[in-house]
Amino acid sequence: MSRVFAVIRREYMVRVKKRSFIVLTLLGPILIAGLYSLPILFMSFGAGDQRLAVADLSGVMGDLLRADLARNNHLVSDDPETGKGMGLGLENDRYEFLDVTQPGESVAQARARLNKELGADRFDAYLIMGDDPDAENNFIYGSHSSSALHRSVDRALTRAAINMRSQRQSLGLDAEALADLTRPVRVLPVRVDKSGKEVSSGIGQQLGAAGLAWGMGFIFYITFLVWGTAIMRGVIEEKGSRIMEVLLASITPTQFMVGKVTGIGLVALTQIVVWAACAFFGSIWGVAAVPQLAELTSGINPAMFGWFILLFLLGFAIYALLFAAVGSMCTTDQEAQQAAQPVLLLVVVSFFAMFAVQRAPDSTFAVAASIFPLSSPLVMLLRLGITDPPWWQIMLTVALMVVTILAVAWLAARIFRVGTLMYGKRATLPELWRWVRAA
Amino acid sequence: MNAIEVEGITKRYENHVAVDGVSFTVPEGAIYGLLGPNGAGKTTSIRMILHILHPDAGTVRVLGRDPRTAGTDCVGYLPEERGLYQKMKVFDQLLFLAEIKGVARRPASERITQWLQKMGISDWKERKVDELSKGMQQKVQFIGTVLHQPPILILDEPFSGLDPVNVNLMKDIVMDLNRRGTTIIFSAHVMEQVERMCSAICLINKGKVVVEGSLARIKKDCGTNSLVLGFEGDGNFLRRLPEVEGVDLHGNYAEIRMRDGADPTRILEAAMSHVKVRRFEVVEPTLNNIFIDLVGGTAEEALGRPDAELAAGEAPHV
Repeated sequence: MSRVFAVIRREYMVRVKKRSFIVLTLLGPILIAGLYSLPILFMSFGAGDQRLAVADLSGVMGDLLRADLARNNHLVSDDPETGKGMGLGLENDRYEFLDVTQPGESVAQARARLNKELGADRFDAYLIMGDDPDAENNFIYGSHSSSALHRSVDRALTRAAINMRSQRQSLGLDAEALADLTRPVRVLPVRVDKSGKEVSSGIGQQLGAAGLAWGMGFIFYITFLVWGTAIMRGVIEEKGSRIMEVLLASITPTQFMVGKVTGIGLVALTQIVVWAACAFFGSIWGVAAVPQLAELTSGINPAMFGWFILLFLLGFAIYALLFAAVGSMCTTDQEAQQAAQPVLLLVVVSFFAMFAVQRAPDSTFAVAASIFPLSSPLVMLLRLGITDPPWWQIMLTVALMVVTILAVAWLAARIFRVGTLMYGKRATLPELWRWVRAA
Repeated sequence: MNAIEVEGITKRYENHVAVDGVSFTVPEGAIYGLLGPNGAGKTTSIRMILHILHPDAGTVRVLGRDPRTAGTDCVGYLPEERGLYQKMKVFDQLLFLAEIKGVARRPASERITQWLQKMGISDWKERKVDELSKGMQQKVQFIGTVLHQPPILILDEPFSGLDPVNVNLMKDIVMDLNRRGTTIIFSAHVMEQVERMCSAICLINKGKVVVEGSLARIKKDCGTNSLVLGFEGDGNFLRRLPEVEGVDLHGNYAEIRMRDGADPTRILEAAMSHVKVRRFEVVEPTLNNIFIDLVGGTAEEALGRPDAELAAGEAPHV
């Protein structure tokens, strides 16, 4: 046992002392914070001021649209101060409204004309409105890019169309009344668990719970990939420098593998603890600075941290052993990068499965993906965060993961036993199978 | 009791048999040479003794016990190619090597300090391994082999990569350990290097034992059909003599293997008529000559010499 500890200590000390580890561990939180805020930042740039040429063939829509945009501060002539800062700053685009209507033109004619003018860069985009809002191709939006009509114009247009229809049907509603009538409603989402208790209520709490699960899943994803490949490269180094012979003359392959996986697992945990501490103090600071954020943190279920540790230990063991097995059947890093593709793919696919699960966390696919041992660390964690999986599913997941660890350990030890002393070319699948049976 | 008993071990690979029914016995306290050309199966045999590889057939006993159950802690193993973590400091590295052999940290540190002094590399203990010369790395590796004070040492090609001064240092240390009761097993392909040290040998070629036993008995059995001739002039005439079976020409002297029953005086007479003779001696055969005799190879096939090492090339691993 003391020998396994020697291997664990070596793996741990050597890696924790490395400069790259210290830098990544300390800079990690900053990088992740940046990664999360970048999309928001980019989107907040918006499209800026745009020259929008409008050809209104209906005679009414143009005014309705202009009025709607003006009401929502989307026109350049509006006060720039009040025009900004709506909805996380995502809709701060503004338009210079150019009326290019030529009465009597058809939609097709206007389209041909405006295409030419757009080509000459007289404006940034054009919008043609025919006289029947319910006809095919009645509205045409042309621009140099393939991006769709911006949401603020899209919404304004829809409201303008409603307005026009109501005028047509002589409902006698003015624009103000219509805006009032078509204002979207706000729904309070409430999550109720199997015992009938409200787990969370409000968008903020639900975002907080989902955000935590996603953050944790992301940490799994990074950790499995980074430290899994570190294990693989470690094994290859040991093979390459023939340390393996000295090791195997002293300890059994199983002892070695357990020591290595545990040692590197502890390194990964150290990193996660540092990150978690940063996140903890960061959120305390965040709530103190922006009290509204308290709604996000109040949605966090403390049990998630327990699940995180359990699923991390099980998931890490599975992937670490798989990577160790890949390392032991290769001789060079390049070879291993190829051979590791299937394992890497498993991690990546589980990460992408999270997107589908987020949308429908109790679908058959979500349940299957959370129980399948190679994707369960990420998927089950997400489901635990955003829904209320029944106990039998959780138990089954944990049981299957434990069984998988034993099976993978058994397999990896055998591949390891033969593969580590095999130098030269990488083993083929039939060869691997022979090793497993022979060892 | 014997230190190591190997009985008919065999290791087959897809395309060849690396070790084919090898048996030998290493008495306790011996300095034992496991000799043979590159690729003869020495390293594979050692790996099977150490239970790094499973033999396909045959049994191994180390101090009378099966290494599969008893482990190999009683053995210190110096592998042929150096196995050290390049980025670790010398001292930490040695501590680790001692620990995985079950030595506690405190006694291990004391022994490491002593050994580093003995080897003259104390100043390097906080350096990383990759900053060390090949010879120094070899010394570090050797220290790692003896830290758990094993009664048996297996040294696979221990002198490769060392300069003559360090070869002698290493030989002295090994002889010293042997005097204090450690059984030593060498493997070597340069037979001259270990010939004078070994009390018993096992000669292996192409996976099979050629001859095994005490060196004195082997030499006696092989008879005194070897001559050394020191001369000035062209020694090529020796190749044409009917009494001569084989010649190793070394410039100003020649090692000659005679045919069975040949009369050495005939060779001397011929020599006197061709060259200026400085020395003429009937000698015990060298291991090299015994090997060639028994294997029946030509001088070019006598891979046991340093210059032949290059020609032989790298033998397939495993």
